[in-house]
Amino acid sequence: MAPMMLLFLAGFVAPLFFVLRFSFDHFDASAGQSGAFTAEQFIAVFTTPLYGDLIVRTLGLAFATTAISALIGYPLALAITRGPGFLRGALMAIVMVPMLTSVVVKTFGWSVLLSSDGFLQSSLDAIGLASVKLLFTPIGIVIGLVHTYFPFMVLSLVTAVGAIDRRTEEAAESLGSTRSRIFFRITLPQSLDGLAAGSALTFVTSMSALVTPQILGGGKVSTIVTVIYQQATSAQNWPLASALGVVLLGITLVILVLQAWAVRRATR
Amino acid sequence: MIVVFIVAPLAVVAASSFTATGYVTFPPKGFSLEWYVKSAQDATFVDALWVSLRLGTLTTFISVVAGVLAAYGITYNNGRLGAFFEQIFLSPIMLPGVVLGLGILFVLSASGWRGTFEGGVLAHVIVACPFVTRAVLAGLRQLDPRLEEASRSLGAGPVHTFLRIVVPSVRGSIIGGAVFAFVISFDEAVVTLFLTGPTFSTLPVTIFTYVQYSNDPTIAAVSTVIVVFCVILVGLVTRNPKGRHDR
Repeated sequence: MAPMMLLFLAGFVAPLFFVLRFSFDHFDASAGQSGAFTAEQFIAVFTTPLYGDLIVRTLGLAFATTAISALIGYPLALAITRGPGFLRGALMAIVMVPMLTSVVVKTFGWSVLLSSDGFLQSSLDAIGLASVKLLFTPIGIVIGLVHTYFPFMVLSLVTAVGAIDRRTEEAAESLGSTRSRIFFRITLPQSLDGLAAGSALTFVTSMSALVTPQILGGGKVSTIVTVIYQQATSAQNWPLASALGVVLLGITLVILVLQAWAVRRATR
Repeated sequence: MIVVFIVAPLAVVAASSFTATGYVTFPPKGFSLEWYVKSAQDATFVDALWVSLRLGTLTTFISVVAGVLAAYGITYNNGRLGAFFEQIFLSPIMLPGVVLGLGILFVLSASGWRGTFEGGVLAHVIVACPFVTRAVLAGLRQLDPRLEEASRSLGAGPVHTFLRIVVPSVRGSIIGGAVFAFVISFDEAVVTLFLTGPTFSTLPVTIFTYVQYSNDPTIAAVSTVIVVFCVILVGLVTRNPKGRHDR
């Protein structure tokens, strides 16, 4: 384990320490960092409406991504676990495709598909929805995020739905239950832990996405992450970038703890 | 419907790489292989591809060595200590990439390694290694402990037992983890974006930069090559029944 510990010290513990330290530093555009110890970055983040909006927008995008992923994830997970064998393998392979392809390439594809002269926008214009824009809007970002992260939701739901005893569903069916009633009374409640795990993973990863909001937002829609990137690279304001990073990390930890707590409660 | 949604952006990239126009458009107009020729002649892309391949190979090698040792250490220290290190070593999987990228940027700047290939290797190993550790851990936990005991009782030393008994038994997990590590490194764009500079850029980062400022079909051609390459690589491993069995 020794080599791993060294790697982790240099590439994991030290970086986190630096982020934490810099988040309490003072920054001046002309003089740079002063090495001070102050909470002014956090005060700025939590009191400026600009950053409040940023955090709310980031959480909103992640929430929409998670909800849509769950909505398309359930039918897919049911088809994969309950469907005939050939369909199972084929669907699983197709779900894995986005996981295996570079996020940059996928996002590039979406930027072409969603562009103002693209097929989707032209269709919207044709049916009188020209006011709905796709590229450089939150809608476009959510489409890109769902495409990138919904496989995590599907994999997590497949495990949970696969563990349900099918005979309970068959019993309900033979007693005359409708399919929607079976889903809401039997399948959904028994796969809640999978839904919680998949949702936490989808939420956390889509909230931390950089490539998708940067390309599909085109600088017009920013998230915590794109601002961190801009502050760290072009603006060189490392203390502000660090403070936003700590906030992002804090939200991530809260969600993971909540999910662990929900799972423990469900299994008890 | 969902299948169309999944495949659409990739199909668009692949289709538009054959366009005869000087800009990316879908549906493509005409047919041309011009952009593939252009991409092969463009030093920016060729250099970036070369960097990505070297980075991926080195990352995979280091990740496999460190990951296998770490996984063995975790199973060997069965108990609180093992569980503690398992948590620590797998935690980068859940850490937001931006935070890691930001932190590694600070560390590399402080040590004068900013914008270097070596700095990229460190970052990629931290990102890829947990996946190797996780895959090998799963393999080791299925291993019969009596196998090791038998080897030791027959007089083999701990190093000999590890190299001749343990490692070959989890070969499938190691290969699976290695391919995963390579693909992760080859596709990584978040952490790397913080670390690249004029003298160090990977293929995904180069594409990312181009996509934001230009509409050149060369990017579509390069992207198509990457996707085909990664799909073939993963396809080869998942076809290997040994690899599938261990995971």
